[in-house]
Amino acid sequence: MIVTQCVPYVLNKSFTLNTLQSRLHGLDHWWRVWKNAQLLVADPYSSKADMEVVALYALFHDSMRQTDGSDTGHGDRGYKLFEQLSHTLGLGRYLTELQGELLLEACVNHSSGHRSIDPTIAVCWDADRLDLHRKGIWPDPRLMSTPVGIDMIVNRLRTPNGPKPYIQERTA
Amino acid sequence: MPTPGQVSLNNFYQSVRFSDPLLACLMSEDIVSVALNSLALDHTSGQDAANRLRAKACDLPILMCIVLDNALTDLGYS
Repeated sequence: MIVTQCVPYVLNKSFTLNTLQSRLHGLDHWWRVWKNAQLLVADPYSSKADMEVVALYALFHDSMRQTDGSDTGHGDRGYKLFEQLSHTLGLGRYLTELQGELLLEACVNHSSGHRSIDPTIAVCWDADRLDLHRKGIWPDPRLMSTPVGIDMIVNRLRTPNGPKPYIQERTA
Repeated sequence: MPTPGQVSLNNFYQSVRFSDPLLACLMSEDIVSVALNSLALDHTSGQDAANRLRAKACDLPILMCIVLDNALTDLGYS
């Protein structure tokens, strides 16, 4: 996968890892977003997602955070880091224009509380939202984009409104 | 014959052990406490351990938290 070529560069350049040294939005989070995405694409609806783009999203979307708060524009900065690397390594040869556009949309708007009907962006955002539980927040099914994501947090759990230590996500 | 809750808890522990051995170590004592107290039908004594397990599970992917919560519910913990 293309993402494997990007990992050393991101580890070196990531503001989130090297300057902010965030645990909330750092390596653990990126790994769980990728694991969540793999669970989501097991569903037929989400199986149309482009996992090459999803993997790049997991690596770049929170790579350039300056704070652990709302941090306006961090998705944009994450995508710009990808662009720099893409230019250096010539990744344009391996990614289509559509894949680049999907990654841009997924990164830039991932913290806006939107839903998407595009399977790739939907998987990116749901995989990210499913990791809100690390902050003690149980995801709101109304903000999920994929049927399997909704099913995961509504139907597979026998405790109503999430397990005990969590608070409910606030809808905008 | 193990109950469905005990089987789920065991499956959960196996998953953690392979994906995050350090966290599995940190959770093992509480898992044993929860399992033993549920065998003795003494849910009051095991509730604190169950709460600690749920808090530690925040470091795992959400599906594993769901598996844990369902196992604890099946074992009789609130």
